[in-house]
Amino acid sequence: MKARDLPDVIAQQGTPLSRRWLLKGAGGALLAIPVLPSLLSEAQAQTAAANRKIFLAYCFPNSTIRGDAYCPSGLPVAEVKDYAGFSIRRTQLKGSASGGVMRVSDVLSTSSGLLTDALIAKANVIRGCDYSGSWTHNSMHLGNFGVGQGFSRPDYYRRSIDQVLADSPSFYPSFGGTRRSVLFGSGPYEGTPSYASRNGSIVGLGSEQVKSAYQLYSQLFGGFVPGAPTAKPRKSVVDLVSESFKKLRGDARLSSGDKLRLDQHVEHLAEIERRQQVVGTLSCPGKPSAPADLQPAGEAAGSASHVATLRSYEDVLVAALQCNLTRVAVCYTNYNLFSFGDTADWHHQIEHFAAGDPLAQGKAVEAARKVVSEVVVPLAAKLDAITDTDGKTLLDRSLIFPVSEMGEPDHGISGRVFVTFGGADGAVRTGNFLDYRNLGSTPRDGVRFGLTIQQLYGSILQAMGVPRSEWGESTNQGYGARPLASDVYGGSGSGPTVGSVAAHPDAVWAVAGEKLPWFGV
Amino acid sequence: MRRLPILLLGTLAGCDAAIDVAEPWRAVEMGPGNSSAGGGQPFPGLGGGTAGGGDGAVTPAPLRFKCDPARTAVDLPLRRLSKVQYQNTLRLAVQQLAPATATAALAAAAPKLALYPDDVEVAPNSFGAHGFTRSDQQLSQQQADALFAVARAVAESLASTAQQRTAIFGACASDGNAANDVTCARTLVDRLGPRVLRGTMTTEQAALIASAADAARGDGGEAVVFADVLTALLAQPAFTFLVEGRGAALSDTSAQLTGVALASRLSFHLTNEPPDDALWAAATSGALDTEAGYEAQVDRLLADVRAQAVRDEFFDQWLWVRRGAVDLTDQLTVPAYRAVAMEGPAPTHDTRPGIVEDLLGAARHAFDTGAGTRDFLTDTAVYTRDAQVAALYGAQPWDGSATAPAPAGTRRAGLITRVGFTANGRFETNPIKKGVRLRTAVLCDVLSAPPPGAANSTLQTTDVLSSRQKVEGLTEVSGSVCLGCHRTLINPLGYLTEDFDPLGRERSRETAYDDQGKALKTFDVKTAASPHVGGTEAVAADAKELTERIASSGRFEACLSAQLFRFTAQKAEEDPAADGCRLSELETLARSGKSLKDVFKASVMSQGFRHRVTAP
Repeated sequence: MKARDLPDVIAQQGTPLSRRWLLKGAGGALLAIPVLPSLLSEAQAQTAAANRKIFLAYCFPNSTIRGDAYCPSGLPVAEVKDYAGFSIRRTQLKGSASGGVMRVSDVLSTSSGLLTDALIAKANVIRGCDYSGSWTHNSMHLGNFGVGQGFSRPDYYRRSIDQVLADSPSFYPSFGGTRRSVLFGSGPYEGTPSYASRNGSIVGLGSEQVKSAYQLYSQLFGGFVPGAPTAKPRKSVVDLVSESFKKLRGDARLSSGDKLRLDQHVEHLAEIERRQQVVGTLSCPGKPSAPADLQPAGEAAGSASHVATLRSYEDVLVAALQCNLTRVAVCYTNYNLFSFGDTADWHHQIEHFAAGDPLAQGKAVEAARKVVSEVVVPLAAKLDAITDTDGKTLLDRSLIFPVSEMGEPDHGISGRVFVTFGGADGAVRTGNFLDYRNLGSTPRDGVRFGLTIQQLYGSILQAMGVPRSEWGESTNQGYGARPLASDVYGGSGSGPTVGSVAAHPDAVWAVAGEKLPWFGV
Repeated sequence: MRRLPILLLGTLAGCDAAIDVAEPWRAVEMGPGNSSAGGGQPFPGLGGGTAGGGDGAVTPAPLRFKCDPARTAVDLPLRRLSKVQYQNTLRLAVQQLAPATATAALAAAAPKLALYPDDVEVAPNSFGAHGFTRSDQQLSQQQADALFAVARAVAESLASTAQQRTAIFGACASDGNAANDVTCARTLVDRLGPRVLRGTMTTEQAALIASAADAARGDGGEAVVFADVLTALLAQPAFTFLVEGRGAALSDTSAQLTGVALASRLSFHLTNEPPDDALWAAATSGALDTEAGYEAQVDRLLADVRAQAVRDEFFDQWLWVRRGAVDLTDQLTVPAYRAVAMEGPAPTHDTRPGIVEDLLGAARHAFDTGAGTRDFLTDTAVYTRDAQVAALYGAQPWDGSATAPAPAGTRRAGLITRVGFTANGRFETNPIKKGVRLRTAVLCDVLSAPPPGAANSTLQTTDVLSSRQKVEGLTEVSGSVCLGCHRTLINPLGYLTEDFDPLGRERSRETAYDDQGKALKTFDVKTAASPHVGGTEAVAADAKELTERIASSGRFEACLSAQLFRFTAQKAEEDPAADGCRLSELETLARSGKSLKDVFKASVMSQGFRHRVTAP
């Protein structure tokens, strides 16, 4: 069976795709995802010029640390804005270098040779976009708030945002790479955060998860012919249209005045064509050498080993990005990354005590720092060192989005902070600490609610060139379901217990479809 | 001391304060018999017949336009479709391509269509004048961007699923076989291209469009490939321009239009749409090439509801219908206006739709009943279904079908006393604005810009004045730079409808209010003035006498002819000499008492309409 013979169902993995995919439910029925065919064309039209954006996510478990650990302190607030019924704040990010270490916050702190002022200017720290729903482990990093460990809410099932991207005709108007998305990680994979995995009743599509850099290499470069690009970008039809006008111009029955008018329009068409060609094209360096085919590091390997493993993935990934073999990648890191050898059960001995035990809190902060500053920052630096023909770097095209499973306190879900890198090809404004919390509200277990993660994810999707028409909701313009009024957040060790309406009133949902202020351009 | 600024508008071309006020218009008018057919100044003459008479008798002016067969006007080069014509063209093309999914595809393209710049009125060279939006022939990058983006958006929607592609192209568009894609596309292009592109498609062009499916253009699934084909089709020149094929040559520069080209020109002009099935059949069968066949299509389209919308567009833009319609509740929070409004029945909701309906209703009635220009000018019936607007006339609202009710009172004269002409929604009337509108829109006279500093004029007085007194004090005092034009050409036309208050209601007295809405003084309204219409400087008593002079002078018919020609040829302004034959044909017909419908019909029955004349 040929791929193009399959009407609207693609279930195979790893096949280079040349047509749009639709998701299929586990039972064989097409899932009722909120996508209207009539609106897909709008989405595609909005990205008629090549979409070359890259989405890279790092999903890591737990990280029940205080939110302040992610955020800069002592910097002057640059802007205050009334929004959704309260005040939000923007602060320009700035690092301080000392002793060879550049420090923005406890978590964002590493070698000043790596974390430079220039790189900080391409970062954002985002606070106050709350998970607004029930919570459980092993889920929800990138959306789909309906399924997790021992938890299922079918009415909340949605494609995660990397699934939306990989499946999007706007993000991939014509796919010519080898994988629409890749999923890789350190250690055994347990979660359901991404495109490749089963996501509620939504069957995962695309690449199977890989456990080593060699496997990632095989997946991305296995079918790659050295010296020849796997995809030939399709030429816009502007030239054909323009040619029609020129042919008409040759009609002897036209007057000189007629021809002047045609010339004028042809000039305008040429300008459209010129703009479409402005998009830079990276040169593919060719097929890199394969990394060593090593077995995945075990639990006992320790964090240093796992950091090294993740960095080896990055070398493969960066080469693949240069060759346009994929533009969506999700890295899932497991608990063992945080095992420093002094505890056998990181989760229960550290995470569950991090809220009230300074020693445990310190270890949790250091774990988060390792992910952000020793894994993510080096990747950002690598991407920023590769310059496109139009002067932009690969990082400028990208949005790197590390996301932890939990926030503060303990297993709280609402107090998470996101440290991002990259401008999504000009769609994301960077260099800011964006505090969307309602600081005028009464804290609950130390947490102040603010805006929603639905708005953040919607903003990200829009920044990646995927309009709301591909993922919007009928009752909520942000990404994903709006909790019912009867829903209660938190409880049972997962943050403050609060009714959904009290946490996020209508005014917050009223703006959920908007691009986050100061974030989306 | 009160300083009373007031808007000053208009001086006649060439007139200044030194003009002899005894015969103010004579200084600038070329006058009957002085108007050379080759003169380039539109409507230079203000009088009709022998000017200078003082008894009020109107002498009809000679025909404004003359036909010189030796002079032939050149058509506008490669006219572009107006925005509404483009929208209709796109809509109908998509419906032909994919009847089942056209609505969704057009909805998908709506955001892109919003980027298409609106057409703007292109005014003739006269201060204060306005023109027709379809005369906007500007080409812009923004427009080209929108055209292409809309085509792309529609195409991607139409080609997005295998089912839709199959419906449009056949099974070959979803069979996974890239080798047959070009042939598949060509089949569709050959089948629908001739109609969608209105007969302009050449074999070479068809091949070019189909080549969008060529795999050599790059990788992409069938959704992308066939979206490319549809994009190429929907962005062809026929979606931008009125591409007109020429048939038999009449001279080196003139030729008959081909049947399909004539059908397109006729259809876009009368309906703002490309040819419908019946017209297309007539064009392709050759029926349109016969006089009877052509006239049958003209008659059919003139009776079409789509043509009524286009006629509305004509009357609206010619007579400033929407431009002049005001919301009479807008200023109700201003005490002085509120005081004026409370003198009679005052509206409580937006009156603009009702005012527009009344004016366009009068035009529709005249057209549909075979009325001529005089009837249109003098018809006083109330054509609004808005009870609050009807109340301004002292009438019941029209039910939309029966005989329209007559207004109460005795002062209504017809067109120029409709609420849409007299009401301004302010605390006092503005005779200057009313005068400029009548002079430029109804009479098609040419005004030049006010002299420098005119707008800074103020009236220094402690007296409480009527609206007219203010205007007189401001613009008609001896030595004023405003005097020449305002006293003779502008203000009198406004004074003659001063017996209608700022809400368009009849009045015999005018009350002046202070800023708090307190009545200061009441005046007897004085309307008498010399409007300098109809070749006489005699004083007219009121709007009825003014209307009679306009109706008897032939000036309204000349104006109608010029406006209809501009609307038809999409020109901002006519060339009285070169366009003289088409213009005089219309003017003669209108002056002979023929109906508005006949005049409209003549505008498209004219040989000038059916030929394409290009510059060498």
